[in-house]
Amino acid sequence: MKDLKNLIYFENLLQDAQNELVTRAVSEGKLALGYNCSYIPEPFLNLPGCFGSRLRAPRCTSTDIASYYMTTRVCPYVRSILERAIEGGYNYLSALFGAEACSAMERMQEHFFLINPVKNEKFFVTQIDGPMKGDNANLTYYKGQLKLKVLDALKEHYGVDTSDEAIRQAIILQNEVNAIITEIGNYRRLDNPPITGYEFHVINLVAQVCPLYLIKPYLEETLEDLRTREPDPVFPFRARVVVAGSEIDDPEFTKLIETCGGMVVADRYCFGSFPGREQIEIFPGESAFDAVCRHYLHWNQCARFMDGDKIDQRHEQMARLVKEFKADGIILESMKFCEFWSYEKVLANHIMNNELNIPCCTIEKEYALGAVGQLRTRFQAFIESLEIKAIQGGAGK
Amino acid sequence: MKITDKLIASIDKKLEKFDPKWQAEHGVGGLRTRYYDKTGVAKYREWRGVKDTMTDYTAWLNNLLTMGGMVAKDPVKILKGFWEYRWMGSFLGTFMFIDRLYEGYRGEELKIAHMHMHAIVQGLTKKIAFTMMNDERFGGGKESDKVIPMDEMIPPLVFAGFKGMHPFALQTLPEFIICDVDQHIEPYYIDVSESFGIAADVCSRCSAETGVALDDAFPLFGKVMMSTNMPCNASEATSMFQRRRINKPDYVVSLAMQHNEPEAHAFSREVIEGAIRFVEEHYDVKWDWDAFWAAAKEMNEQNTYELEKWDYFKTDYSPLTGIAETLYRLYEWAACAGTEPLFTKVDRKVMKRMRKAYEEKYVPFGGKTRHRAFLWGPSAVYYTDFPTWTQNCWGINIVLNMDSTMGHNMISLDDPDQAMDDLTRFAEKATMRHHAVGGWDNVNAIWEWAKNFNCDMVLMNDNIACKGMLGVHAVLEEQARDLGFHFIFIEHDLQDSRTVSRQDMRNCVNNYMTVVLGETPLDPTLVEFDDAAAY
Repeated sequence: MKDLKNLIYFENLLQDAQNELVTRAVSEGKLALGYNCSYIPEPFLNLPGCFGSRLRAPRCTSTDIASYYMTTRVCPYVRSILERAIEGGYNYLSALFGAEACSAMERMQEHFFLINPVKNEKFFVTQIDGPMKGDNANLTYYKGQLKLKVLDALKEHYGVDTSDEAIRQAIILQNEVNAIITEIGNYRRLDNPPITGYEFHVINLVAQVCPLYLIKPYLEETLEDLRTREPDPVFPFRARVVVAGSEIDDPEFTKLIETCGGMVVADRYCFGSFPGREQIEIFPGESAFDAVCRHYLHWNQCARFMDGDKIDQRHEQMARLVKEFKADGIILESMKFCEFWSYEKVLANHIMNNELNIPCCTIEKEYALGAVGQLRTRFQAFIESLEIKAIQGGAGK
Repeated sequence: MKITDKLIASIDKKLEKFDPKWQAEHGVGGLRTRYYDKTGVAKYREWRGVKDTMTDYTAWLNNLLTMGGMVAKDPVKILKGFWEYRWMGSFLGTFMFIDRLYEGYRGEELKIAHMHMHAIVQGLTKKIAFTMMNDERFGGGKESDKVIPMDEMIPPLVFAGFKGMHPFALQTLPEFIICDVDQHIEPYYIDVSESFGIAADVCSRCSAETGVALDDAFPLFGKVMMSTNMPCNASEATSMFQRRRINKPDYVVSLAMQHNEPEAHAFSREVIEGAIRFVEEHYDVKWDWDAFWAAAKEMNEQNTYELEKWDYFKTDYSPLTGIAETLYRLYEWAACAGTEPLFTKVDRKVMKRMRKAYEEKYVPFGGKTRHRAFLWGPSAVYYTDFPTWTQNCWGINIVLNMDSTMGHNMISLDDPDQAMDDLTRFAEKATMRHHAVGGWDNVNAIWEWAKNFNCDMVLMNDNIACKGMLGVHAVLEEQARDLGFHFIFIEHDLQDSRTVSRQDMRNCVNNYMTVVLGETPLDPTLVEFDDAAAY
């Protein structure tokens, strides 16, 4: 396939947390609002004068200092983020909106006020207590938390306009970006897509880490590019897979799977597009704030949700993605030391394999892709098994 | 001095060479001398002097009688229990367990410790008999449908308003208390869990719970399953497996994690009220305030005593310390929470003794205490007698344990609205989660607690798989240094004694005491010994 015009530019944007567009927005006087977890709705971070930036620690090769603070026995993603903060990599941030989504994340975010790694006098941190069920009581609590710890905090610290109209405008921008990403992602449904999983991963990531108003024109241009892009004459991969799991913010991981012959057709993980790119609807009579909270609670599929409906939703979503994106199997990933995904991975593997007859491969990985030989072997074996199943008539047939 | 006292004193003097504490002082043995190497099997019972040996032996007989009574309730089903459940066999180690808990105890501390332990034995044997007599795996019983199975992190008081019903913590028998008794039982269930694919780095306690579920080793009864998000991530995650395996309608009692924030309580209260409605719907029963208040009254009295006990713990004259305090409080609160009046009666008796001991300026452990320590963080379940060892070996008196600080607020006994608020706050501060999760302030509270209880030392339980506590390692250590506390991380793996052995845990203390403080042990036989094969 012909190269996508903006791909190298996007790849470069992912090389640093404070990339070119982030720097430009900050220099324009915008408040950079960091977040780690999809419990924090992006529209609340894209209010007038602000932009949201999901924290990554690209090219992090050592977490020595963070490991001193948190030991080596906690999630490498959170250690990498803390390490990057201590290195001064997030000094552009005006605030960090955390969530007590998991203990490791919570503790990492606490270090942002305990040891003050961000050198910005007005920088502050709040942490919401994220709901664990999808019912009305939890929705009410979620709303209360978001109002108090995101909107009110922004208003109090920086005088940000948090009115209904401001939120509506942020929703419009978010929906526009989501629509572009969704349309781009939908090309992966085709039998011979004009986009690879790696390319989509890069595109989706830049839309999470860069200011939306600055990245949007590039995304539109990329979509236009894709509309006329000719795929290879023959589908170049040996199998199609859905990747589900925790924090995967390194497109090289997707590339690794694809170099083993499996195209990643759907990304159902933190930093992925499922969920995350759905249109936010405002129902008649509903405030913009209520709509955002309802939307994010409904679509959130974090492995920490405990009620039956949400657990079932997670597995139904995986099965739906397999069907709609014509995947041959699922790669279930968990980050080393991630308790939620360690359990969810095993349960999902059991349900998919034994109850829904969808082949799965479960893997555990570090945050930074270092020695990937073992992973490569696992992926190659899995993809080979999918091929064999396809030759034999398909697993589910 | 009475003539009998004189006689006893004379016998004690003649036989003192058999007392392991005397032996340790005189360099001719110690508390470990009477054991076969690597085991918890003693060659003979500990000689503590005439009176204390009688106290100890009478307690032993009392416990035996209670356990015999349990078997007599339904011998066939109890026997089936041994056949069906691997964990049942481990209860045979109870006597060894009690013996090692109170090694080196003398006088008032021994009497109170046994009063506490006998209450636990009575409560526990009742639960075991009840379980076997009503377990659906053995055909059920007349109370089977009246059981409300729940996660052990939910205090039973939450369901005490259902008269005639039995809120029953499912994990207590197969996973929690049995690991206290036998360090070798949970690794089996952990292996079951890991064989299914659960990572080896998750909390071993939650992994064990998952293994128990997968091994079908939870007793079965009741019509629902009340799970909870307490206390932490892995516990939340294991609930997914338990609900599938137990396969009954479930309700998640998902209380606010950041439970110290004012807005959290209204939410948590709504969740608890939802749980009560759920039980009403599935059992066709009605909440009865009088039944609730009867239990709440017991709990209030127990908590009143607990608060008074704390005042004594702050002094050097409390005969209640270490594991005798912790285990009782844990069982009284988490397993009963007001639903077992026996504990109030025991509390009343213990309080009288504690008041008297304080008035008489009674110094426990023969005045050998060198350091007063606060034990923080979730403790290793497989090494319950660790506080006994710290006292006997190094003179470190653990005056209070983090878990003992759980829900100690009073509950209104006449205002339903206020009572529900109080119950919510009580439940929010459950075992482990009170300080281990819910934000930095909860963990950071350690220094205030340690200072208030006049401690010079903090022993920090360092569960190698507890992501929440690991995440604050360095900051806590730096604070300890700044505030002038002796601070020791005690590495452990909560329920997996294979990863970090009891000796490994002891070494954490040994190294600090010798290298940093340059102290010598009170009992050299306890510094290094192999008890890997012990119960």
